Amino acid sequence: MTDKDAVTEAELRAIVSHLDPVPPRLDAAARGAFTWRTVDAELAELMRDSADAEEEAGALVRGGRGPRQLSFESPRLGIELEIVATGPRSRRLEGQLLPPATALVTVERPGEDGLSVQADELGRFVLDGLRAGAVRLHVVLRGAQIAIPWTTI
Amino acid sequence: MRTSHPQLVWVNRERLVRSRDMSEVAALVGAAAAGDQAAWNGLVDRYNGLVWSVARSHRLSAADASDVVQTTWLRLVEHLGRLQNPERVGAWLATTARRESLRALRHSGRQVLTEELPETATDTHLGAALLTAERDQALWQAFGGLSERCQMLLRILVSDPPPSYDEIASALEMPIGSIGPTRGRCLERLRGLAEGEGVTATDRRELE
Repeated sequence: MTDKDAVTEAELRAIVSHLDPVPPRLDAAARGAFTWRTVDAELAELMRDSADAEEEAGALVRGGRGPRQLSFESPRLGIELEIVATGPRSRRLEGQLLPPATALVTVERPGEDGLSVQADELGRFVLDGLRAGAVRLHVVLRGAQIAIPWTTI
Repeated sequence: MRTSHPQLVWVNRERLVRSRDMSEVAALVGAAAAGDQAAWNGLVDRYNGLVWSVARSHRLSAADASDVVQTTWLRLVEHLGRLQNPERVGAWLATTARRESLRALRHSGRQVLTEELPETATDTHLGAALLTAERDQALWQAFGGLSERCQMLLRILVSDPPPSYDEIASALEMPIGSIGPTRGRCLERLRGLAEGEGVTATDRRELE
């Protein structure tokens, strides 16, 4: 490390802190994330994300083909999820519970009330008109609660 | 340690400071996992600049970068009690933010076709107009002329507070040993570009 480098780095740090600081509301949001700490639900695990698969295949092209698909698994339930971009910042979630079962599916997001739908007898559900951002799905199945990890949709 | 070599002494002191830092971080994680909001806020103060810089270094728009940052912190809340190395929570956050940024890039790509390219911090012409000092303008213009890899490394390196090499390595999925040398090369290149607006014949040959 040379002195010259340290000086250049300090100059650049000053510029960046001026031009691209962390937005204050994002500091507040990060602090507020802590209120989501207590979870009674069993947490499903992400098994596959088509966005990652594309990366592994070396297809680092902006604009994948088709909707993003995710698979989650917990001991008692599998959840297949498709995220459809219906607009620049609006999304639709199409889900499938495996094995198929009717269940109450709630989409949770910071600073908002949950939005619930009922999965039909084939285990399918649709949540439309969602804003892009961080969400968590919460499934109540025969009294058990299963959550999928926070996901950016 | 019996040495009078000044640089060795300095390195050891750095290590000592760093290891004390790390145990403080582990203590914050432990307290937060036990429900201490103040400890959690301490983690946010320490690492939100790093997480934001990782998202921005991927050239995500402010909106997409904000989503990545929020998801990253929510994931940490989920994982607080299960981190294998709580003292490396910064590296964990950097890795999570990198993965989420890559997903967001591919994911939000669908809409880019019909939209203007997102405004980013590396829109150097816009940025330079906001900077008054001539030197700063030159540096910022030069930054836009660096390779993508250099821009990413430097953007993360100068996040506030300064991240450790371990955290930077996680953010870039790069071996920790190559951070120092790459940093040196990128900063030298940056100076060269900033000072070379007049451009000497040698510089020009190098650039071409």
